[in-house]
Amino acid sequence: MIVAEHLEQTYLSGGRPLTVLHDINLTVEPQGFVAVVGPSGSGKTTLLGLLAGLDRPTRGTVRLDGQDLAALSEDDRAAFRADRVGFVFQTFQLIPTLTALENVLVPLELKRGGAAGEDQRRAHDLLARVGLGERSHHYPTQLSGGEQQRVGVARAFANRPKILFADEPTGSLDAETGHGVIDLLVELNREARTTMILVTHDPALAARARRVVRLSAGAVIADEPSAS
Amino acid sequence: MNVRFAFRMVRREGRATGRRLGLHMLAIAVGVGALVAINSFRRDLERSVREQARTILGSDLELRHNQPFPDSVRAVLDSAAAAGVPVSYATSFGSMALAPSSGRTRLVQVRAIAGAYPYYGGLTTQPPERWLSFRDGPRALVDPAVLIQLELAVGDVVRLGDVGFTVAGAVTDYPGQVSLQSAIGPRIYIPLDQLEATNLIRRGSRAFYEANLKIDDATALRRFLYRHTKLFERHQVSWDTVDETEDELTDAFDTLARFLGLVGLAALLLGGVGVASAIHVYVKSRLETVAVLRCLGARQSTVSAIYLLQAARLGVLGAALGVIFGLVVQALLPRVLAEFLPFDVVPRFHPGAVLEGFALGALVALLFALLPLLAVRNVPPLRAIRRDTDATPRRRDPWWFAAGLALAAAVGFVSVRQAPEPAIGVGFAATIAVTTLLLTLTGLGLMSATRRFFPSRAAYVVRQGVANLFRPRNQTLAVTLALGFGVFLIATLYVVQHTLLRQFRLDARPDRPNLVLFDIQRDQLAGVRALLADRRLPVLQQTPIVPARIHALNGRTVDEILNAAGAYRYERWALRREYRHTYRDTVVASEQVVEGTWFGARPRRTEGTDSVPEISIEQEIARDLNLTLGDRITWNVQGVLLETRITSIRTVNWARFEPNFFVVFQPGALEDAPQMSIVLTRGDDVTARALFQRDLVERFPNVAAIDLTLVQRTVDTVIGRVTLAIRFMALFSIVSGVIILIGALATSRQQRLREAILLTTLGARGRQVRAILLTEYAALGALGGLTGVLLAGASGWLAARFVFDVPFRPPIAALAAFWIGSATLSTVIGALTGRELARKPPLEVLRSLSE
Repeated sequence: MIVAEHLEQTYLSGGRPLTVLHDINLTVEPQGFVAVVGPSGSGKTTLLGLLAGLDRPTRGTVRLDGQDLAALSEDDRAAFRADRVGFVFQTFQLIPTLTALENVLVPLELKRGGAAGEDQRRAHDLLARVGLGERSHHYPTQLSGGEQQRVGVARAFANRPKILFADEPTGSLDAETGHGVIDLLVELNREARTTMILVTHDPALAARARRVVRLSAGAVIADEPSAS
Repeated sequence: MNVRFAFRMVRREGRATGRRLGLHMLAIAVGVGALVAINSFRRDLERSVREQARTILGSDLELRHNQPFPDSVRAVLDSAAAAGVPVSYATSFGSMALAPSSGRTRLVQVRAIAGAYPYYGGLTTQPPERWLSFRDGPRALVDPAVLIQLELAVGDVVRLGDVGFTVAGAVTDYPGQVSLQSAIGPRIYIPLDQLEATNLIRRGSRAFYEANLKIDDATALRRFLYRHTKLFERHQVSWDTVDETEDELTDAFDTLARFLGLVGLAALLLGGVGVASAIHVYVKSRLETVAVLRCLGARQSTVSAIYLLQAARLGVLGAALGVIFGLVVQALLPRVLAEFLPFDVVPRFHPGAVLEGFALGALVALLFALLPLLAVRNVPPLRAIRRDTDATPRRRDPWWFAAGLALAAAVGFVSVRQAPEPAIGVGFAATIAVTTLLLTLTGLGLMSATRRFFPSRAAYVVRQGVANLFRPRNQTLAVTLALGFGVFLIATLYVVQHTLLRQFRLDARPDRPNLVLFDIQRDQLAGVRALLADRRLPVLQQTPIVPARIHALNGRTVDEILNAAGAYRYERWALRREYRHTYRDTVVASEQVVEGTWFGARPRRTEGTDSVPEISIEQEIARDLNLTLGDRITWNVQGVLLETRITSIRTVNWARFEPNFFVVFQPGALEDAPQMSIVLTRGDDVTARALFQRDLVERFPNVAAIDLTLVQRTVDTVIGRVTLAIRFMALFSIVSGVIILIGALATSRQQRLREAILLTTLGARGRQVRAILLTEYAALGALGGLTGVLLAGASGWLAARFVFDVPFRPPIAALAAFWIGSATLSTVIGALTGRELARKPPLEVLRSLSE
């Protein structure tokens, strides 16, 4: 499902080149569940961005579901994401001017462009599934952090993605709330049979995955099945 | 592009942004309202002129001459009357009126009438029905202002020359009369057959002669004119028909309306600046959302469409509101301008003006929003997971140039379309462009200067406030542009108005005359001087006046010149008019010799080829007559031909209130010619002046006196009403400007509040936070305002020099007041922002910002 070969990413910082990823090679099988762990500054988020097609690598290639992302334009990659990718963000990234229901509808509307009855039902079902069926008309500012992230999770699964990227999904939550969100995420992922890449610095969270890739200073130092 | 999704997002986003962008929508509405109002009113005026032109003229054909009609012309008129065409006559001139009962005198416009004119339109008298019946004997009808100013009542006597007229009533409504006219020159109507007995019309008196004909068949009128046009032209008899009256009035009002429309356009452009500023801040607050949408799969075109539609929505709603506002103002304008209109104006709905204003408002809002909206295109989706990812500005982005070009073209197009002349429109657009550029440079300069000359030793609050001017996400450029532009437009309007109105301010220094006596006949001069001496009033200046006409130029008669091939090179009016000459050996203060040498005390040669009298001619009349140094003019001085030679050319400052002349003769040539005199004097005591004028009228009824303090008061009254009309239109720009000023500063308020909350949370006292805000806002207001007033001074000079051709003196005190006002406004908003913090807990403020 995901094949990254010889990935390298270099930025200009203060006028000098800074290489944050060195020769990363990674393959993820369909329905795989991989956790990418490492200390702050190890390049986890950068790797996630490259794998999701949000950025272009300095060197190397990324293939998602057989598609070479470098061959696509910016708009085509966006369309690709609308069709096949879901995201869960660390800071929830709900659109503040939309209700919970409308936030969940966004991927569906982008994919199909219509507020078909089917889409509305799916969005309602997802919200109910994450326990927020009664809060569908509330705005993000009216929801707690945990509730916002659950809306984010519902949104991520709305377009039935083949691949789900979760960037520190519990990073802005307390431990108990975070566990609840992760339980939900893992459960939905299992049901949807999605390939999931989870970026985290929390070892306990990483243990929930089937495979753990460790990064340090921009390089993979370990790639092994999860202890659990 | 996912159009459906875009529209859906616009609707959803609009729920939250309505309040935030509402203020800027109001600015668009004000500008659109001004344009709709003035353009609709212009169409109302055109329609009213078309419908009422006949009643304005009062007849079908009006003939005018500045002398009694020549016999040949009179014969034509008598023949028309004999054929059954109604013909009326009138002789108009200025004269002193004396009310024996009150002892008061006043310069009035006497109109001696015969015939049934006006043939169209309403004329009302009080008591009613007196217009035709008052003419049996020495009776008069007067303007109501005459009754008030001379303290007269119906039945009292008013003296005009040698005749005392019994006041039979007041004329309360007269065709084509502008009500303001009574402030300038109130009228007294007397029967034409009583005029000679008054002895007021003497040699050299300025009087105008009219004949009004009723020929309501258009074909007959055209035939009449066709038959007699050449005769009229030969004798310099001018004429007006209904069509020509309609054209002249339409042109005059069209020009006025277009000038006022430029003021409205300025308000709209100001609104556009506000929209650009608001969209700029709005887009910045939406960058995260844009990144998330891109992440979730939205194409760039879809995301751009969302915010473009948002800006269009703002423009359309603002324009729609503006249309409603404009229609209300259109209904008010006839009342505001009533004193300047010679007819009634009924407001009507003009779809063209409404659609034009609406389209213009929406277009201006959209085009001004385009440039800041382009930032949406550069937001990388990576920003959704990495906040420090900046937008990647594209080098030489063609869209940026296209948007800028579209905006410039639109501003130029609407300016030229609205202005009275294309050149003025281009000048207006160029001024806007230069101002925008200079304000942008000022903003950039402020950021650079504060960074370079950072007050590192100043108190913390000052350092923090100054640092806010140049650090990332500062509002310096947007606020300087909006605030400076607002101040510039408002101050420019004031400067231009001040410059124009200054022209009408008479010189009131103690050594300047305040009483002018004219039409003094030669045999009256000694008596008038004796009367002045008796009243201890000095003779500041005595000027002889000799009327004459051009007979020939360099040996060619006027007729030969006008019938020759090169006649187009001469100004016809300059060849045909009656001139009033004087003679003296000194150049006066209002003149300057620019070519040749002044004859001065040089004695006139009596022999040889240069023995003809020397004259000095005014520069522009010399140009109109194609004359230069050494050329000869032969004058017809009341029947006597006199050849003269040009030995100097002068410029004349006609704005100075004293006798100015096109031609000045060398002494020794005109002393024996029939002439009258003007005497200038000064009396500081109001009572002494009034008593002198009363004595003057009693002894010399034909001599008119102009009391300049009364003139100044009248001018002030007229100017005051003109000013009111101008300020009414300028109000739109001012309101728009104030909205923009408040909006520009308020858009940065949110960000400043968040930062201030952070400081408060870290332990800063309210006083410190307020001081930081005050420092920043005061700096922005001071610099933006200063740039605005400096630019206003420059554009005022340009307008004075190239548009109105009047001297310019900047109103320093007023400009300083504008500067201080803008800095104060900015500081007050900063203070109010800080005060909000002090009253609420930080979290409460944070929550309110999120909503």
